Amino acid sequence: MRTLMVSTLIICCVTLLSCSDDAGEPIGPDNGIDPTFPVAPNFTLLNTELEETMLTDFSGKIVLLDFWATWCKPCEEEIPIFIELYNDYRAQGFEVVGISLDDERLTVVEPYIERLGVNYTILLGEAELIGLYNVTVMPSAFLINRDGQIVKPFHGAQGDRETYEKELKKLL
Amino acid sequence: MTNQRIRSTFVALLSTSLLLVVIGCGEEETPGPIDPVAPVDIVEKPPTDSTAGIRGLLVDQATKQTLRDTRVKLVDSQGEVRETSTTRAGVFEFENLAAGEKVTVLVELDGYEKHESVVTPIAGEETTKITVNLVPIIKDDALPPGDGLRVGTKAPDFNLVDGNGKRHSLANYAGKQRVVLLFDRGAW
Repeated sequence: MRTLMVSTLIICCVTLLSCSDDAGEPIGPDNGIDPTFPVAPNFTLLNTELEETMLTDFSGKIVLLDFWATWCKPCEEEIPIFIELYNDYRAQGFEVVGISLDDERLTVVEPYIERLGVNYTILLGEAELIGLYNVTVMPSAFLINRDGQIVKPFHGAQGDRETYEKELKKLL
Repeated sequence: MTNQRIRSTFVALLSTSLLLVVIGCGEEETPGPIDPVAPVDIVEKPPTDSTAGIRGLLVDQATKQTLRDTRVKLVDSQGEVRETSTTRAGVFEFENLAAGEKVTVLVELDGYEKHESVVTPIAGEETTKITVNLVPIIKDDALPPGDGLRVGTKAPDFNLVDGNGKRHSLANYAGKQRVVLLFDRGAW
């Protein structure tokens, strides 16, 4: 009886450990995945409800990852384009995930996204994300395929819907 | 012996109930609606729209980093104290609060000024979200990086090269003319 309890406890501990190990690891290469594209690094960030969200939560979907900030004017010009694309393609498994690089986080992000009517996922960025994705200009967007690979980076504002749409349509 | 006792108990019970029935019949009809069930204390919770919750993010005001594993206290309007700890992401949460009633959020952490803020959680499905900025205690006159300057602080001097290779220091201008310092965030 005692042995059973101890072993159950050990199994529980191991399960817990293996669960916590999952976070931060990139999605491993799988059979049938094109190796030419890099795997998008995984991360855990808070959403605007202050709930932890990971990139892998969106696995199986096409994701447009957008690095932006409330003080970045060119970023603001892209947001209406992203809202439109999300509305038009969400039914086909397309997600837009905007990572805000504002130090003030929710305080500035919440009123801002409400004003612009952002309806897609917004996450509160942490400094290490800039290095992880090598963000050198703002905005920077990354188109991620259903296998979790970056197929197209967009450095700087593109200014038009077609640039994103053309790449997105290849993945639908 | 035992059987006898059972029998006598049974008889006693039967006669008591008969007596009760007799009394019941003899009584006049009670006016008004008759409650068939004896009144029982209702244990069910009040409707959920009267309860609310608070979810907050704890941040170091100077470095803008979130603060994990930090104790956060909440004192409700009845003076009841609750305690929790921030998650690895710096998030704390209090549930089942009375909606519309003020609560005080308290954070005491070494190296920071004591934080106390009053929050009124809103009723409904949405959790009330707050950001708690902890102010680091500044020793001497040293300013922690990122905290910026305060009004009245002497502007720190600098010596920088302009586009033509000429050096400028703030001390060259001080006392002679007014200076506006403009920090450009970058090419974008």
